[in-house]
Amino acid sequence: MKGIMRFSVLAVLTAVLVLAGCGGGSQQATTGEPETIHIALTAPITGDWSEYGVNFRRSVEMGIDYLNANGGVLGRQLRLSVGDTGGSPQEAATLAQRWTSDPTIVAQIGSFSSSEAMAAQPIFDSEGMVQLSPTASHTGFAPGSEWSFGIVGTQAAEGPFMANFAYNDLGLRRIAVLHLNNDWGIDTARHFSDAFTRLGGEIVRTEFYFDGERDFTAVLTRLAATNADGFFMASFFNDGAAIARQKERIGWDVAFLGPSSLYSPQLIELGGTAVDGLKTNVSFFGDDPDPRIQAYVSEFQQRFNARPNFHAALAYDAIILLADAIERAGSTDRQAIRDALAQTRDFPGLTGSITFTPAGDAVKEYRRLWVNSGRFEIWEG
Amino acid sequence: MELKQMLRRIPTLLGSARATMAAFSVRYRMPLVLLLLVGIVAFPHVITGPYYIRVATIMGIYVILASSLNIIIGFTGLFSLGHAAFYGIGAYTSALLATQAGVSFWIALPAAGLVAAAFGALIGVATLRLRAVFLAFTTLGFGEITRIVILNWRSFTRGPLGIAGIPVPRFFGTPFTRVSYWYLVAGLAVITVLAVYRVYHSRIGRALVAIREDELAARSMGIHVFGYKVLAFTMACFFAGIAGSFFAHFQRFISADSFLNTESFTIITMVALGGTGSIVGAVVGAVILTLLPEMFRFLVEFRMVLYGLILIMVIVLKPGGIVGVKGVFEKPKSRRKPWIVEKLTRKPTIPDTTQPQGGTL
Amino acid sequence: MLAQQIINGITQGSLFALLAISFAIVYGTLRLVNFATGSLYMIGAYTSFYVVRHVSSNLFVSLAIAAVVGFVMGLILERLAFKSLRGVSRIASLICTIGFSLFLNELAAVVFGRETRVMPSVHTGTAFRIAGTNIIWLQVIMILVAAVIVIGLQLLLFKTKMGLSIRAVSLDYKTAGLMGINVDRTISFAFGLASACAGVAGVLAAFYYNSVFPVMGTLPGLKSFSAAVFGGLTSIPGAILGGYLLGVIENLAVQVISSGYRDIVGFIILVVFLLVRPRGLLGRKIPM
Repeated sequence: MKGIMRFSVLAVLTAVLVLAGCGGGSQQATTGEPETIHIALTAPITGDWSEYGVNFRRSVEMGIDYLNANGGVLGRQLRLSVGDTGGSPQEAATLAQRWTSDPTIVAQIGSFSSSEAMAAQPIFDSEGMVQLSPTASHTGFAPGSEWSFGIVGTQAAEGPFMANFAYNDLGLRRIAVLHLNNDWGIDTARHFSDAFTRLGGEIVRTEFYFDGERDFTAVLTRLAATNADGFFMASFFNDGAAIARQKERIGWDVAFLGPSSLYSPQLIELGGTAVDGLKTNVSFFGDDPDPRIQAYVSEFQQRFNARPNFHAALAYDAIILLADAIERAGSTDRQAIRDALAQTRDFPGLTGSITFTPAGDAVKEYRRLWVNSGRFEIWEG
Repeated sequence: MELKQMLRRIPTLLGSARATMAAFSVRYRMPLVLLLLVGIVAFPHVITGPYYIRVATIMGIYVILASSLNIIIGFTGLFSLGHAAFYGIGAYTSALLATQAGVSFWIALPAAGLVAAAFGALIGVATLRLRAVFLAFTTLGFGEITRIVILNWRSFTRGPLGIAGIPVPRFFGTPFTRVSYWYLVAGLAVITVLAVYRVYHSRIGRALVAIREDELAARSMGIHVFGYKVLAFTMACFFAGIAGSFFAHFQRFISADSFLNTESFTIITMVALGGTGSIVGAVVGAVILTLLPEMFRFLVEFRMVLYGLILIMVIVLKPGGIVGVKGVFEKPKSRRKPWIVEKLTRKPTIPDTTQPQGGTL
Repeated sequence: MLAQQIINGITQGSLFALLAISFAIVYGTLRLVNFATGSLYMIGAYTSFYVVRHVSSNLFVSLAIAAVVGFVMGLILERLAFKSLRGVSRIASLICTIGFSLFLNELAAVVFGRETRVMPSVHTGTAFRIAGTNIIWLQVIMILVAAVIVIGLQLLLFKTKMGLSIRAVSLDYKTAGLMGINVDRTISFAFGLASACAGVAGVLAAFYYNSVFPVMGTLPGLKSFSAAVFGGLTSIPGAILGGYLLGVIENLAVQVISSGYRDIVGFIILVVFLLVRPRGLLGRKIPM
């Protein structure tokens, strides 16, 4: 008994000292430059989702450099703190606590997954700081707090758009669905299926897979045995490319389509000829002649030796939109920023115009897109 | 070569530091106990940053988890790689009770512990007759099964959507603040550690250690090996469930992402890093492995590389853990095997069956 | 369609089998479950990615180089960490493998980049058709490579002096040491061999799935651990059988039950199976 007591004392004391140590350091660093506007980014920089987190970081840093080169916001320079979640919701919440308790930080961008964003939400809500997620699309996310905003657009609009594309433009009637089994995949498949059934089509079978899976032959073989004339895959681009290749390998020749998260130059690189003919939609299109988009794409390419995808563009929009809201708020007060952000109307983003619903979700516009001999092209019908 | 020599000296240095600490703590026992209590009470008022209180609270959760797992791994010598599953079961039980049935946190907390314990007993009865490595495998598998059932059983667990809006616990009508969360978790952690300590120095604990040291000898002494193993497993899972319940009400959103196998690995690493079988070791391991990743945050993308490297280095240099089983804060009697076990094991005719035997490659 | 699923399962089973062998060799000699096996598989895959870029796009060149790289990696890991932990604490060794897995995955992410990289398609022509199902050359090659490795390993274990040493060490390394066997060298060699198997599996996976990424080894590593347990953990023929059985069961599970449960069907069957037959399919009977 004594042993434990004694030790625990030492352990607690050490912990207190260490914690106090960290605290002192960061406080000093932040109070030194009152001139800057401090923004936080939460993203999975390590772990299973790091591919996306790294793109977030690239885009947000690019956005901040752009803004700073053009006079900053409210005449002040922007400064970024990056926090890595490693893909863990608990770490996202810890970071939320860290950001909100730092008085210099005015708002946060992130995180990538809905689980992370939702775990952090109660903290942003009670402490009162904007949580602007480029990608969280969970139906409960934006309505969950007045401080939470999502700009990816819910599947409630994209699903019917794709269903209409499939039923009216492509003339498909019986569709087999494969989706990633997370909140996003379930939502995407559900909204698409509902809308497609309403139009008079039939969903012949729905199957799903867990993230990390790379062998889809079994589930594709099962789907191929249905009499489907179309195949809808609710996947991200790297899964999508693997699915397309394996679909070709088992000889299932069927029209296929999927949501905007498939849009990435990497889809074509990874999928090769197997993704030819894939129909999707975008609200951000890298080959768009719009000079703003071309400027973004070429700078991204120059800096990181990679072409930006949909998720990267969303993160870029998030930082520019946030800067715009701060400018409109005319102050760096957290409440003022939230109110300005909520007032956003027709903000011209790279991923289309952004207007928030009262709940804090963005309404997006979509364009039909397809892969034609190794290139993404706008679908002309 | 110089570096190598320096590395070699680390264990010795740690050892002498430990001896100094031991001497210090023996001399000033009562003041230190008081200091601990004062420390726990004063902590959130001295260091008021919400971030630090949150990190400390999470540390408390891991102290409960690591201490409880220590009953299985450290005392009984069984490999369980699925502790996060019981943690998750506790969290989901509590979250579902609170959000679906409107049950108060104070009832949901023990209920979560009991449900997790029931699952632990069930898994224990089913698998504890297996060899060590197969037990490791089945517990790992159980972790995976739990995760996938949570994800697939959408009508009950809401699947990948997770459970949001878990209510803030109330204490006589007053909602919890972050300070009350800290006091609660500190209290739970202290209770857990004391309970583990009581178990260790009781009949049960001696039986468990006897099983760990030599199962055959323990059995021949009339110890109901299987029964005690199940008991150890059930107790550990109870505390894991309690930790889960607290976590659910603390974070207020849970999803299967929080209870992956990697979480089990983290907990087992805490136990091993501190010193398998050492009560204090589990606490130390939990404290260090919660603080380390937080302190490395500035490294961003290199954080986990360094974390992995440090982990490997500590284990290679101090395989017995930082505190070690023979840690100075343990009672001396734990150093020796029960005399009868020792006597029996000395006889060469008794084969060493706690170690799995070789196979034919 | 069932035929198609079985063929899918056998192809996937070849990868599981190779990884299961890797588990079995390490477990057989060191009584250690090597959770870094998945990371060694990933390193094999990245080796082939760079070989294809800079040396040759021939699959067999990649296989040979990855086997050597895997072997050397295994030696390094064993010398760096497991040697000093041998006989000290089994849980420390286990934690060490977990640490290596974390370290190698994150190091690969930092060094090679976090994005998925593409591998060329090779040998995708149809070899023959069974029951209306196409079988491509790559699938044939995968199965043949697995077979060659198994035969090679059996020859090595039963016809060479090193094999004899490995078998002796696996039964009782202390006695083996007393009998004049160089235990250190034998264990290092066995560890290298196991790592080479994982590396070869990684190359095959990289070509079969046309992609490499830092965390690609996690899931196959976990699944092939079940395959190895299926076979009894200490038996190479058992590991092979376990690998193929798991591959086929998983694919049939998708067909018969649902895709959502594929990852755990193997686990559930195994747990039930172990309760009935605790030593696995071909494992030796253990007194307890």
